[in-house]
Amino acid sequence: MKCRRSSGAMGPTVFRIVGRGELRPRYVPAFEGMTLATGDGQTAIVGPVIDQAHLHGLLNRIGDLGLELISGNPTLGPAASAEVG
Amino acid sequence: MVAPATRAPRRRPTERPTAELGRDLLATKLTPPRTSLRQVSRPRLFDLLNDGTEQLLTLVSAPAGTGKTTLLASWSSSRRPPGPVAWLSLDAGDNDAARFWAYVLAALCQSGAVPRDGALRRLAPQPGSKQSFLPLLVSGLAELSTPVVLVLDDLQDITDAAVLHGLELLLRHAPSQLRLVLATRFDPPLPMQRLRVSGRLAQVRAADLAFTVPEAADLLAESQGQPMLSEEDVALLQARTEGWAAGLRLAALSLEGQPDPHRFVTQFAGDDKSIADYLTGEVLDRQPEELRTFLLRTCIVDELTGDLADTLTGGRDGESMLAGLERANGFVVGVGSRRSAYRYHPLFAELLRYELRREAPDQVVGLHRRAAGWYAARGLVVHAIRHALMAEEWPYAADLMARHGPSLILRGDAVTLGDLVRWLPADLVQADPELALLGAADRIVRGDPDAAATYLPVAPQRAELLSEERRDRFALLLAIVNTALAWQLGDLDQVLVAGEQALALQSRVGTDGVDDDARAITLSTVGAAGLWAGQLDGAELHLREGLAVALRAGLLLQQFACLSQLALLYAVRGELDEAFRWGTNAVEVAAEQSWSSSMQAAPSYLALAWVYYYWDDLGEASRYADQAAASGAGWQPMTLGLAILRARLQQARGDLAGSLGTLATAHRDLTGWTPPRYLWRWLVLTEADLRSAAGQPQPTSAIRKHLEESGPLSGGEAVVLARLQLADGDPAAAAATLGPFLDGGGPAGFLMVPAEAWLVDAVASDALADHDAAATSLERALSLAEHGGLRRSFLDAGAPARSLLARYRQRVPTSWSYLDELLQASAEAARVTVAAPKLIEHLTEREHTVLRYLPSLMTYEEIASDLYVSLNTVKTHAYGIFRKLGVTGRREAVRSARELHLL
Repeated sequence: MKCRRSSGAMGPTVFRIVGRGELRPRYVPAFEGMTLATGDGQTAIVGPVIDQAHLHGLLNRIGDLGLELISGNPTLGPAASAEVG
Repeated sequence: MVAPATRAPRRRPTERPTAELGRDLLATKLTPPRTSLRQVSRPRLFDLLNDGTEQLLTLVSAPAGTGKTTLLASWSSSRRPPGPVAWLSLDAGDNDAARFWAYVLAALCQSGAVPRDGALRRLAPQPGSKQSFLPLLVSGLAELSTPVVLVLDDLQDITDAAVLHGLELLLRHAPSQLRLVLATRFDPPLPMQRLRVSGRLAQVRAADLAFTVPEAADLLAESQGQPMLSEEDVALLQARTEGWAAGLRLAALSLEGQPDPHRFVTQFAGDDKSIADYLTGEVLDRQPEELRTFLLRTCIVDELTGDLADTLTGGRDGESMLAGLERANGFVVGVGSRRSAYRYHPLFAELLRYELRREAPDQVVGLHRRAAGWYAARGLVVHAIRHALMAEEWPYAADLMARHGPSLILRGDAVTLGDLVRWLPADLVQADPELALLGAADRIVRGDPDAAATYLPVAPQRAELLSEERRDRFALLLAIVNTALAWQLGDLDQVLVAGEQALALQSRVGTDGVDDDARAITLSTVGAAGLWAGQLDGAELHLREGLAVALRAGLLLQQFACLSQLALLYAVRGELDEAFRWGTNAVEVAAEQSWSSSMQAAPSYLALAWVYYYWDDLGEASRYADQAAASGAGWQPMTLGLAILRARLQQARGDLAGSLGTLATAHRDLTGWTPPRYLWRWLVLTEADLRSAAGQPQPTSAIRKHLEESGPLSGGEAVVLARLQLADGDPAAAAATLGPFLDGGGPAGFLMVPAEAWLVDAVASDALADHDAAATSLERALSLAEHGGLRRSFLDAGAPARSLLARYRQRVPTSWSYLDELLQASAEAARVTVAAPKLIEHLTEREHTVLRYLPSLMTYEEIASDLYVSLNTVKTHAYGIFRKLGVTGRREAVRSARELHLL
């Protein structure tokens, strides 16, 4: 995964971040602008990530909510295809 | 009698960190880092910031080394911001709401945006009153005449939920004057969607901060003194570093003295190592050995002075080295307004530390140990402990914590202490009773006294493991923790027990084990507890000694706390003149030091409220009562003391129903807390006194019995009891009750006002037809009252006092003018009471029904038959109505009921 320091010129990259444990919908506001999908004991957070500071902010939030991080990858697909498993 | 309070001496805050709320605020955190003269001008970013600060929030969010701080510092000192800039550099130590907001306030006040008399200068956040602080901050901001830019740098270090929640509230309620700039390495967990949608959020991100090719050319040329690279090379460098500021600066340093810059650039561009790794190696390898060693050895501390650098390197030229480093290549930046402290760029410091660990791992521990010793010798305890921990010098760290724990806890720095305790290996903490105790202290400060209380008994069991010297210190720490815990729980008796223990141990352990700070705070805490527990004489000694210790040690806040408590002590002892002098003095100090809404100010407000009450200036009295409520709310004894005062104020305004309601509420709110005995008795007696005034007396004998069962009667209590006995028509009992106290005998207790005692005695003697004794007592009462400006007691005594004054006028010739003044005031007060009828108690539904018949011409018999009830029932209801309306007949009842809109 190549994380550019400043990817503004190229537009946001869609990331798919998966954590262990299903997050209740009430936490959706913690991930402004992202889509949350749960299933199979996992939560996938999918959406456009504009830069490193944004990505680190998201990862911190996942940690704050006690979710164990499994993976985080840039994806090519649109944010809508957020099903898990 | 105590020595009169001339102006309490006080010290001006010195150059050192300002002591505010017992916390040392570091001035360096409130100043932007100095910007290098060789700063590249970047107008496009200034424009972004200018546009952003037209609105509420500007988020500068980008990784380390992207130039956030540098940009904001140079923008702050430009002429471009829309108002004065308040700067605050945050760090992990600010994860404590009280400390965080104290810094925010200090930054705002220092910015020049807050006028000398601005409300923000009187604010003081504190652990107990977080909820009430933010609305005050918001309203203080709203009254500013210019916008103010508040820059919070390094916000990523703030992880505490309470602080973040406070920021969220501030964002939600911020007035238009506030322009917030948050600089952070990653997006903060604050809801910003709403601001974004409403266009009140501007962002400066990594893509904006990235140097463009022309900017990169400027930067490289600036640091080289002359352009050395071709345009293509600059473009190559810019592309390889992606405009990353730190990367470009490191590249510039690497280029220094390169024989073939072009070759360097192409090599760098073709390398796949991380930029920082590659360039740090390049930069460090090119430095002379001496400088390289200096960099590696000094990088372990956050902030450097020449002296500290010498301690770490063993050299003697730290000062000039640092100045040279700042001038020559920007390895370090100067911080603060004085040119003596420096800091490595955070990213560079990280890389240096990594390099140090890789290259000389065996040195790391020794360097931290030296730093710890340097900080400890300068009293910078928290830094010392932190480095001792990093040196993994567990016993040394534990010893520092135990030695300075008491003052850290008492100064309100226990949150930090708790964080530090958690660094230690768990088994060590569990095995060491002192550290276990600090763990308990940490719980107390985090507002979890229950957890601490269950934790505490475990620690003493291990105390026998300690050496004799440490055992004493442990006992002292335990006593202090117990004192703080009891204070927080409002258990004043326990404060007295544990506090006296702490004081005794402090004398034994000696100055080595405890500093003046801890002693002054213990004295003022124990003094305050004694005051509220009604042990006024002992409390006075403690508070006076506390004042002396604080004075000697230059502890402003502790001086102020003692001053304020002493004012209240004299007020509740009935020494109104003294109370006024100390109280006024305390209020002046508070205004000067911006402590007006601090918890420590509350006692002086309550004292002044009582003074004005007795002087019959009810407006001023209410104003001070409100101030006492605003600053002291939430601590139960103060809440109860205030309720008693408010009830008396309502009584003075003729609102007896209201005053009984106030006390009933105070009673109800006591759940889960037992007031100390004399405070409880004060409440009970005030309630009885008010009921008697409202015409619903309780049996006095029962009250007296209840009092005597729980301890000897005090003077203040005897006065109220005698008044009740008079109302019962038993003047002989009243005179007997008062007798022992009239000449200042017996315990004084709460609110023993001598003039009041003599007045009650005069009324009793008169009723007993002992006219000589009545005249003598009245004369004593009048002369004392005139001397102290006391009026209220005469007015409250109502018609009997009026009649007494009128009938004895001829026998007390020395006091005519004051007597006439009182007579007139009393008559006016009586008119006011008649003019504004009050409902003493709510009417029942049946009474309401009967009330509706009263204006009619129907007799009670006719009403009874109309309602299908007996005549007696109607009469009972009618008399109930009369009593509750405070009237004696049907016609008066109708008039009062109409005025109260009951009809």
